[in-house]
Amino acid sequence: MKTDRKIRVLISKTGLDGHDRGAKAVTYFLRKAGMEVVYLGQFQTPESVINAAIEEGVDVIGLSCLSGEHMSFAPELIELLEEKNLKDLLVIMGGTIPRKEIPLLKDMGIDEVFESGSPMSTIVNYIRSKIKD
Amino acid sequence: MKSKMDQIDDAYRQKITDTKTWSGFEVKRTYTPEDADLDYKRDLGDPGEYPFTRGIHKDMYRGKLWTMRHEIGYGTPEDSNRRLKFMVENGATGLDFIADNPTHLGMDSDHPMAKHDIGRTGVPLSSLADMEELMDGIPMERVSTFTNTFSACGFVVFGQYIALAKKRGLDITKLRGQVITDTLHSRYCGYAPAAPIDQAFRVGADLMEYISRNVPKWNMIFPCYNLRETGINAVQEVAFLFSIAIGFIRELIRRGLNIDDFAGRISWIPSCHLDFFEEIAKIRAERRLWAKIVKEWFGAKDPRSMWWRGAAKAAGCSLVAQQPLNNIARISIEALVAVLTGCQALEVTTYDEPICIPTDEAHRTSLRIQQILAYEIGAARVADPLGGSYYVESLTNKLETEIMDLINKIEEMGGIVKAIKSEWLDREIDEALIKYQEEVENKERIIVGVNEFVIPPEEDSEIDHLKISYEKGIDRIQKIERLKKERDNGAVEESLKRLYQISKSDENIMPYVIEANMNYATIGEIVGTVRVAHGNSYDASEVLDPPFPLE
Repeated sequence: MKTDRKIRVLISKTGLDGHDRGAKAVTYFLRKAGMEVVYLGQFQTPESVINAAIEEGVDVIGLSCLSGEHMSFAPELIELLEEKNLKDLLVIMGGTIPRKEIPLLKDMGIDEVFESGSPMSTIVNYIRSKIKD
Repeated sequence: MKSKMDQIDDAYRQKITDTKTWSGFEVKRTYTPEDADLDYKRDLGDPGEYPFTRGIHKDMYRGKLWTMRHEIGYGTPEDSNRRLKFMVENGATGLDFIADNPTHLGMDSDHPMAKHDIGRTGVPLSSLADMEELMDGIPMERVSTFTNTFSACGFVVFGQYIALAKKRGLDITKLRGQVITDTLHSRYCGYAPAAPIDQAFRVGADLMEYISRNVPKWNMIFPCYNLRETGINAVQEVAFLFSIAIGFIRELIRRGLNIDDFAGRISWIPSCHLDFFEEIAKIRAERRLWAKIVKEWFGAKDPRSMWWRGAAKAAGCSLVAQQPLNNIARISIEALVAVLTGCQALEVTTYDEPICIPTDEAHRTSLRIQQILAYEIGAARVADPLGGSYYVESLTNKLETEIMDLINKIEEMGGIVKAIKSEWLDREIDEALIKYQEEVENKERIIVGVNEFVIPPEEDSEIDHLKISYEKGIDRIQKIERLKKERDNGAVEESLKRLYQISKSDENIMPYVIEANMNYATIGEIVGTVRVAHGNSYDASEVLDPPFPLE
């Protein structure tokens, strides 16, 4: 792994949901672990997330979903990623996501899903294990 | 990893090592009479006597049991109507419907940004037509209804409800219910785009003034619960919300109302969080403190103005997705807090809250918990059964002092609106949520199933979860488009123009909000009109324009 380049992560909420406690906590702990984090916040569409990811040159997109919107938001996001040739980006999701839906999300192309209550260290370790040069 | 059996003799000898409440107060090994430093008449009084520490009514639950209600809202108005009736048939004694995210944000279901969120976390209430479906077959004149839209757009949903009552020919002075009139707190709960601060404050005061003059049995709620969910502690929960209420009281007095004209209808939603004794002490402390504030700061004469009335809610943020059935224990204990402290209503958050919005079964289980508390365990027989406990009285005194200190700090900043505008409150909230997470990460705070007593996900219980149909949401878009074609658009335009003029003046907007609702103006149109009048963009996401010229 390149030691002089920090991992860059985009954390965003999706749609109109405003529960941001988890997203803020993840942002803080990823920064504490030495990553550079861009926190987009609320009111984001698949387009605005992808545009920000491109502009910021991130390695990871992390989505916070707490209103059940993940099943309809994810396919749109993945489709856009494919259109823009960004399949190499790591895409992870967290929040109020029923366990039964995790395999379905992964089939769609989401790399990993962290249900609420996941220790911050698991998220940090996962990202570090996946972003290697 | 060592098996637990290898450590059984150590486990047998395990001890409690935490000595602090969740808000961080050190507590002693045990408490004695010296610790309960109080004068009965001055600090406690009997239930029904000032300062009401022991309860606001002499008879408490022998006079009236707490109202049992649960937040209901998902899918379509029809789905939610079915669940409301289902809960009543199972024994719920009050109604409570919560709107979806687009509605909370003042957006109609057909707003371009709404499609992933329609009906997901509440019922879509884009216009009176939706309220008609939601309340179909429900006798508004006989029920007590919480129109639970807690953002700064809740005034429109309340307006829909009143408009429906008028359409049904009902006497609105007899309607019973509640609405959240604190239009400021929800900016910290994801609804900041719903209204800029000055607009939100004006709208909240108009709502309170309108209710006090026109719907005298309607309660005006300050939901401490909602802010507590952000991760703040018990002291902050009460201090922040009391400060918001104090801000609104001052505004209503400035407008010429007498404290006794409206204070009797101010009510609260306290969180019932996990630290059992701290929460009990918190509620007793805040009841006493509120009585003192209303009497000493604002000169209330009517004892009813001094009553702190609580519609308690078990803390959703204390529940976890791992081993979800454990949440039934958590919510039961939290519900017990409400009973032991004499709250007037109770909502028991469902055990599946960290996973999805409630299924029929989860809602029914929550109701059964209330019924078990009421009828099986005997906690409701005696008012303030923990009164006189050396520990509880000591902790009550402590919480009161801490809360008052924080309220005074906010007063010194110039009051809550200044504290909000300076972003002081944002920093308090952000610090609290990080602190909490640090404590969980390094196991200072144990959460069973999360950082201790963890099991692999494959061994965990599978519970049913409610699926919201994306397609039904999309159907609604066509429904709204039809409504906008079929209604009398001339009447809508007239009423929005009137609302616009009134919103620019000092006059109360509520009668005009209700009128616009009666003509089937949508929530997006009503909120947008009020926004433009206050110098804001029509649409918070700046995608839509007003449907008619407003001047």
